[in-house]
Amino acid sequence: METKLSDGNSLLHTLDARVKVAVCTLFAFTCALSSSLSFLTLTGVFLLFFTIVYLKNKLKDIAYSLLFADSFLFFIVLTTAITYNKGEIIKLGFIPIYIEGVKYGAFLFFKSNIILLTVIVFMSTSTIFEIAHALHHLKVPSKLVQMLFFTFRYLEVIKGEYNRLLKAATARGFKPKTDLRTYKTYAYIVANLLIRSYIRADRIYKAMLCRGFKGEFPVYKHFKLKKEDIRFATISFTFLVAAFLWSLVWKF
Amino acid sequence: MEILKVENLSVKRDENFIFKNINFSLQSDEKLFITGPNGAGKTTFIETIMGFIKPETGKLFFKGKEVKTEENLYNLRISAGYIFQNPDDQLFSPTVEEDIAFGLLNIGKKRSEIPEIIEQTLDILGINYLKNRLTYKLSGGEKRLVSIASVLSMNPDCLIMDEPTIGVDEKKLKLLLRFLKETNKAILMITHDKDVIEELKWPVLRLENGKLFNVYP
Repeated sequence: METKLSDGNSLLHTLDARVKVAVCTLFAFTCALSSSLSFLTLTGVFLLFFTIVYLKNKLKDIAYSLLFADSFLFFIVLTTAITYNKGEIIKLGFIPIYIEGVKYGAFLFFKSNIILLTVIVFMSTSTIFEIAHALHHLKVPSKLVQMLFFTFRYLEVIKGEYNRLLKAATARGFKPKTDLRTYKTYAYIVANLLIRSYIRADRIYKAMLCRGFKGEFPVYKHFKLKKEDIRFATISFTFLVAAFLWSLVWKF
Repeated sequence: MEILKVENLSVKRDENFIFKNINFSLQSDEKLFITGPNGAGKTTFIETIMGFIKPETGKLFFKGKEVKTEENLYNLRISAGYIFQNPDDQLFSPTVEEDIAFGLLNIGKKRSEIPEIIEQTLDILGINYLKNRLTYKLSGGEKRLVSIASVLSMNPDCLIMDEPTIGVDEKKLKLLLRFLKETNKAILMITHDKDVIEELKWPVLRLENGKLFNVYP
């Protein structure tokens, strides 16, 4: 399915999804495992370069995506700041703030943002179908790929059903409040969605069987590796190694 | 030649028979309607024929051979083109082209032959312009025609259609009716649409109170 970011024709959009998934996984894992601020900073600069050069029309959307995720990450910083239980303390009224906790929380916040930016830059520039197709080629278990593919394919249909159920409730005078009846109504809607999704899944499976499905989802159009894909993969990999080596010299 | 035949078919749900001892056959040049009130078991009847529901009693024959093994069932399913009531159940691939190719790849068609088959099938239905469209963004009528194309491309011996005219606008209905009149495939169609029955003038069977009987001619 398309997203705001997957729609475009920049270099990042035209790259082979397999390469993007591989590079993204490599970057995300290395960043997640790294505890070097200099390595993360360099990676951040590299990603910002791609963002500014190739996704300059989408900066607003990228910022919104990051801010949305950051609204959750903020609570992680807050939790580490007050529960770190080690080092110097500043008292804010009766609440203890651990300086080391703030530093650690800020580090996690920074690291998470770098990983998020990695995913945005490399993955969001492909449609979900391209990603599923790429995962299939990268030998991710077929069942997992099919689950991912069908989840996204039918998300729109389930959303439509949810909206219809909600409209039907509203048409009969339902006004959401913060009371038990509202929660009960929403629970009925969700339960209905689950049942309908199950029934639909069963019908889709039957439709697949009627068209010769034997457990393997055949792919009609295959990717073709281009020179740009190889160049991009080489540059990304070389950068990652260089950044790692540099982080050993330039420690902070 | 007899494509489909059922003998003494009975299906039970919660101790009650949905239908009992039904005998039915579909010839290779035959086109039939099945009508009946809601809940009479029309879709259940078709799903039993397709081997999705285990009957209480009865035998199912496809091209004169009794359907007993998984392999028989597989052959029946890919040769009796079943078009579901809701096209959203049938169109799961990203684009129209890929969705049509899904069945073709499953039955082992060569990749080099597939583009031409897709073109021909879309031509028959007059929907070539939909080839590169995303399936989930099609209108109801377009989805219906594409779901027929996805089955038709596999060159089935017959078409089993469950209320194919629901949600189809006038323009698409014309395309659908033109196809139904011109095709030489055997068709078994469930419908409530009296205009379509009048237009096509095929024999009508009615499923009611657990029995299947001739209404017209």
